[in-house]
Amino acid sequence: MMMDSSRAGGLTSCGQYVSRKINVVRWQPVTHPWAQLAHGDPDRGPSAKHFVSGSWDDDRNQLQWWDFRGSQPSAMDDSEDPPRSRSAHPPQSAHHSLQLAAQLDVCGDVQGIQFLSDDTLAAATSQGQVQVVQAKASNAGSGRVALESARHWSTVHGQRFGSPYGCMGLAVFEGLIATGGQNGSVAVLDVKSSTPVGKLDGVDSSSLTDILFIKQNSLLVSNVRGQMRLVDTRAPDIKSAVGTTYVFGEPIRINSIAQHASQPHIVCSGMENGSIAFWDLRGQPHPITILKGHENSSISEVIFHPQQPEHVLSCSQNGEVWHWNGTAASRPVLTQGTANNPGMDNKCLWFNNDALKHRVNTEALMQSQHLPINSLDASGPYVVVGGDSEAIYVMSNVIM
Amino acid sequence: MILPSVSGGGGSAPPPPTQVTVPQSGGALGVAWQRGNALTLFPTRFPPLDRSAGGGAAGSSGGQTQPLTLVSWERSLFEPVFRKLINESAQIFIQLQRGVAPGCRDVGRDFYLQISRQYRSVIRDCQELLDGAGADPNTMAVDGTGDTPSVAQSELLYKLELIWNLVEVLVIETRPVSKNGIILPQLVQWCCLHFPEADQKARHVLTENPEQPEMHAHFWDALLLFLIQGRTEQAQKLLRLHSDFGNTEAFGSLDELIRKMPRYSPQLMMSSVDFDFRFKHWQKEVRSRLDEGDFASSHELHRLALVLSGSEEALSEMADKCETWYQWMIGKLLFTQPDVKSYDLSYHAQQAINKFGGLSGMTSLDSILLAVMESDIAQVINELSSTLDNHWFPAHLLDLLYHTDPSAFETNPEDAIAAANACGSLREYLILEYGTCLMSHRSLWQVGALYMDHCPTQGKYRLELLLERIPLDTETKANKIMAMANERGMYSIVGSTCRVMGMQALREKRIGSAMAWALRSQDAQFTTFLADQLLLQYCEEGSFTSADLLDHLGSSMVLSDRLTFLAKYREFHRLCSEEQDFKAAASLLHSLMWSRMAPKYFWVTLLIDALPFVSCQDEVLLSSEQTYELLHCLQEISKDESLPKKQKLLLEEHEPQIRLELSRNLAIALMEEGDEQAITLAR
Amino acid sequence: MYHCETLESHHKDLVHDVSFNWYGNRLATCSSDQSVKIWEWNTDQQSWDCSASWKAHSGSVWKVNWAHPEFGNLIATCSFDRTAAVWEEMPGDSFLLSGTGAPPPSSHGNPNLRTEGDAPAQSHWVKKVTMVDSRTSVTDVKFAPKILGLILATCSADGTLRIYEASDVMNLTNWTLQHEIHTKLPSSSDDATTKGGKVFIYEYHEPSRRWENIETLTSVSDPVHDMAFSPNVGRSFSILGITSKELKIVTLKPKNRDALLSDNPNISERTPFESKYEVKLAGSFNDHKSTVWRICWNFTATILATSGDDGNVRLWKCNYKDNWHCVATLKGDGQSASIRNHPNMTLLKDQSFNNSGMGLNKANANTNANASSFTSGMWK
Repeated sequence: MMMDSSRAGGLTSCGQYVSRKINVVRWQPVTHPWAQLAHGDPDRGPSAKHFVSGSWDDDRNQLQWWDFRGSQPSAMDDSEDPPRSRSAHPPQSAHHSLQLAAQLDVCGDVQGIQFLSDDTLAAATSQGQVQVVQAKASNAGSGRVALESARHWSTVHGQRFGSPYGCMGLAVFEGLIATGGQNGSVAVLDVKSSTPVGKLDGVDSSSLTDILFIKQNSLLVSNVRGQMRLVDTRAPDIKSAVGTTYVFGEPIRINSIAQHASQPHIVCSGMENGSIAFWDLRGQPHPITILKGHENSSISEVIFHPQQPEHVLSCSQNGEVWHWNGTAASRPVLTQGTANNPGMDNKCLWFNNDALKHRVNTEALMQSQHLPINSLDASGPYVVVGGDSEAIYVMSNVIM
Repeated sequence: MILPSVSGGGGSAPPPPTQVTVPQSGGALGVAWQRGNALTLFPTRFPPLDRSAGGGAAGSSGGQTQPLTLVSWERSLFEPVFRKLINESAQIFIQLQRGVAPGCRDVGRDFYLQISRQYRSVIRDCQELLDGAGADPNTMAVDGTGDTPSVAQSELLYKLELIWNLVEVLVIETRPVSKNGIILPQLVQWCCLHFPEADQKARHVLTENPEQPEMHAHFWDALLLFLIQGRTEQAQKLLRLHSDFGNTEAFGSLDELIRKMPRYSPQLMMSSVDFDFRFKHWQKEVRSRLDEGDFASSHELHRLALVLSGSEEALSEMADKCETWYQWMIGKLLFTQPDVKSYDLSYHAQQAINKFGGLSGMTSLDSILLAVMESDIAQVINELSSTLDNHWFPAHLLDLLYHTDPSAFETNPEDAIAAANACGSLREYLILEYGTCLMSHRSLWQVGALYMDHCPTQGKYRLELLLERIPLDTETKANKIMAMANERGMYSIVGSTCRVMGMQALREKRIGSAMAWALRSQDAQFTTFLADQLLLQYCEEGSFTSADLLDHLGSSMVLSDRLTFLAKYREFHRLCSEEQDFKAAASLLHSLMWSRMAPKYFWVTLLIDALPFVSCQDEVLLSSEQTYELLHCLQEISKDESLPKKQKLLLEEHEPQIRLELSRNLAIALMEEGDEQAITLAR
Repeated sequence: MYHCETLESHHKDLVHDVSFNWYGNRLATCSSDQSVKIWEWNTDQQSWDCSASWKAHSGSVWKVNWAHPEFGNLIATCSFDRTAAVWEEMPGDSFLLSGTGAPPPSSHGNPNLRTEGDAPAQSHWVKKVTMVDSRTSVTDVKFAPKILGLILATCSADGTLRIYEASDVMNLTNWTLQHEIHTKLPSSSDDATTKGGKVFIYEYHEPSRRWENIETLTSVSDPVHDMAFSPNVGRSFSILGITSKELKIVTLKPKNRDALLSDNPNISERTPFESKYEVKLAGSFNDHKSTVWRICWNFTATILATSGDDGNVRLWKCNYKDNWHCVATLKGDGQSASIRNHPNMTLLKDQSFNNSGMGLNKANANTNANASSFTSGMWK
């Protein structure tokens, strides 16, 4: 009920074929509060948001920088090339436009993108290359930007027989970049230094799948056998570097791990069997709660909404995008006398099995695609997704 | 381009083979297939002859180069500009298959029409992309190739859309409703859509000679073209611009006639007979005005009126003004037989073609359009297949037609079921070809797989063959392939993929990773081999490289005895170092050996591991029976001739000590057990 | 539209065989210059790079064949020097190829014998085993389909077919000669078949653990030069392509199971007329108008390629009505490739997507009335 009332605008989406299989999408962080855009003054016209996509499995893979203009219906006349509206997929909403602003070739499949600042991002590839890329206005007033490689590191995970080990995931923390390797190693890079500041071999005996910064010196890595591990980057040797191991229980590949924006010890993981596990890094080394979804299809990526962590979003290899809305589950704590429940307010709703079972709304954000959705990202009311059907979709009013 | 030979309704012979010359010396050519539509040719000699046998030095070909020629085909779709077309049409294709899937509500003509329009829209989009690639920096950037947009390709797409549109009008839109219904309005509309010549001419007239348009050379042509496209309003507008309009009776008369021309419209619910009556009545009036000399003052007006009256002569003359035979045919029918039925179209088309120089002057576009008008779908597909480089167009078109009306395949189906079957097999053939083509592309293989899913007879086999040969460049790709195979129950591909990935990891000496792959596909043989490797590595180095994996094996350890042993042995280490439960550790050690779960070559290591337990001063950790059994094992292993050399040496070094300590432990254990027994007895 | 690219092999004498690996991204060539070369597809450069080249035999190398990647990176070669060999690509940095290079660890292989002028090799192939059982030139070598395990068949000029098996797929130095079949006819064939005046088909008979001659094709009496079973693509029957004076395509359909069961279960005691298979000649083609030397299937078993004495390679395809016919002819242009460096396409038929067709251009729709050509019109 609450959801309905908050969803006044209704979900709209805009899609575009981009002639590339998309492996990663990331919104540019906004310095201005996102709300300004969402409930923006219609008279000011549409303001642009930007995101970056990375392609995979092509002869030449690329990072692409996109302008997305979402606007209220009343303020949409100046879009120079109004997208055709047609019955054919993907839907092109008349109030949105998506334009490619710049691109940059990279070596190998793009496996991870994270923004270091408003205009600087880090990208890692399956060829073991990590790049820092800057978006610069190419000439004043035109609104066009150019992507420039500011720094790059090659074969950060070493190589075998001349071909480098790939990066499987990428995380950033202030000026630090960490990548998890296909050979189970972790590399730590500093934006200011062209030589890696740390390399930990043998963090895992099999492949890593994703990586997160928990704090400056602490990383969380996931692997193909349903495990996550804490890694201390300051430790003198690998033995003391590897900390607690968190075990899912079944040896199922963890494809993606994500962190709660305000409570860094809360982590969720997207599993190959379509479930999402929630973990308390300060608690026991097992998932606290597990949500099942996506018809058991492999989850490609899962995220907490960056501003409203009571929302979780996930996408999967069977072409689905799901929105897990925990708003309803996060409130009822108040109905019981709060005085008798000290600490209950602090408890994360995602750890409350009971609440999850009965009060999390799930909703498919778009019609199931015929090919995998590989990545998604959220910013304010907007969600961007991309996948193997070579289309990028931006949905508005997902979360109000 | 490999052409599917599709014998049409008339049983035409297969097309002659394509001739291709390749840069080669022209002697004997050897051949080897690559994956997909690609092969390699090389100059060679038949039968093979060894020249080195005689002198050893290279023979006559010494100094000559030995070039290989790599030949590939069906590649035109792989241009970046077609990526959107491929993906978008795949989406529509899937939408269609889902719509007609059993269990779905019956879809009607509107659904097929909508699908058909979507396909056409995709073609037009692609054409725009080709046309605009130079002008629009955005699309240019997307494609990034910097290639000049191909005018020819754009033209080709235009023609394809023309064909599709005609099929849509004549087969999808008309046929299911009224096989004997009136089709001319649709044909006229099709003509208007694709031949904007009248508008162009009118525009020229108006811009170049706005004061006295009739002085412009194209004035009367434009007027005529409007008329034969049935666009009476435009014709009237143009006519009224004539300076003499209003001054001369004749103009008003013609204007009136044009206005009164009856038009058939399905919305009017007019019966065919009713329409026919009104049309004949109208033409009678035209003729009577002609006879009365209404238009004698103007040759041009007279000629136009003749056209309206359906005069054979005037209509025949009109051919000069028409660009194509079908344009002329449609114009002519509009004034001679506006209620023409689809089964009569073939006759009129033949007439028109004869008028335009006969079959010999026809191109394949003409033949295809003729075949469409003749409703000979088989021939349409046959012509398309033998003209185009790839099967994108015929596959999608026939798929749609198959679902719309499978019996449309044969002109006069005596046996509708046989016709539908033939149509079904041809549909599958074309889709398989198209899907196979996509699957040989680096990136588009996933799209290709979607098409195979909708080929009921051979699709699964074909997909299996193609999928298992997709290069496993990265883990991501391997995972995608496995997911795809799993979904479709192709478990052999899952196993094979894991094996290949595991073998690669093994080559890189990453046994843990190889093990993860082996476990994933439940490959017991490979798991056992890898477990052995880990044990051997332990023997060599004294530590485990994949401890993290072994410690969390869970239920997967039962896959292989060797792996079970390995996990248990790790557990033994943990009992010793972490939990310090030496009693349990000692028992585990004993059971590993005595149950013969441990491989023989590892016994020496285990016996040495046992030493601290039997030499323990404070506590008896192994019972007399256990100790006795360990001694037995020692005996057995020391006699084993097959033991690896390294183990043998190790055993020789430690055997006396092991024997001594075991014997001592046996003695102590016996004593202690004796005491215990005595105590029990005493009680 | 056919696209041609030329790759200079740098072999010093005639190339006898070219073979792609399972994925089609690696290529092996062998030649009378006694060497074998391995080529890798370079995605970045969109070119084939030579990664290894070594003297593999002491006579012409006739054939080279890749094993399924499940068994690792393996090739088999056979030669005029009466041997066949299995080679494995070895990882490791023991092969620094900076010139002086460390000697290879293996005593078998000899990768230092690189021919000059090649691109620097990047991989190192080690001979795992040499099959020395033949007393004559080994004319063909082929790995069995992977489902049968790691099995290798060879045949020799004296008409002997040998089948070897790796007893342990993880230890490639140990191969046992499982079967030896003397056909008493000079042979150079593949699969479980030999050739000569006639075609014999052998099948493994589990109870006797022998390869039994189950079928002799009477329809072929001319000398046979090559033959190939089509890959299994889910058809209910096997297709065998045979080349001799002409191309013959034969189908083998297993006879009704019930009929077989009622048969004498002991196959070896059958009379020669009681076959397990219904053999049918699906087609006989003399398009080459001369001897046909080689035959080869694409892996989807949809197209057959043949080489004939007319210098042509012909491609054959089966339409959806199960009729075979020639769909394309590939012919050398008579020029030595060394003097030409425009590796571009030549096309004699339709240019379809590339056509510069006249007329019916929507932008310029008022040219001549009849020229609404679709292609350049040459195919009519």
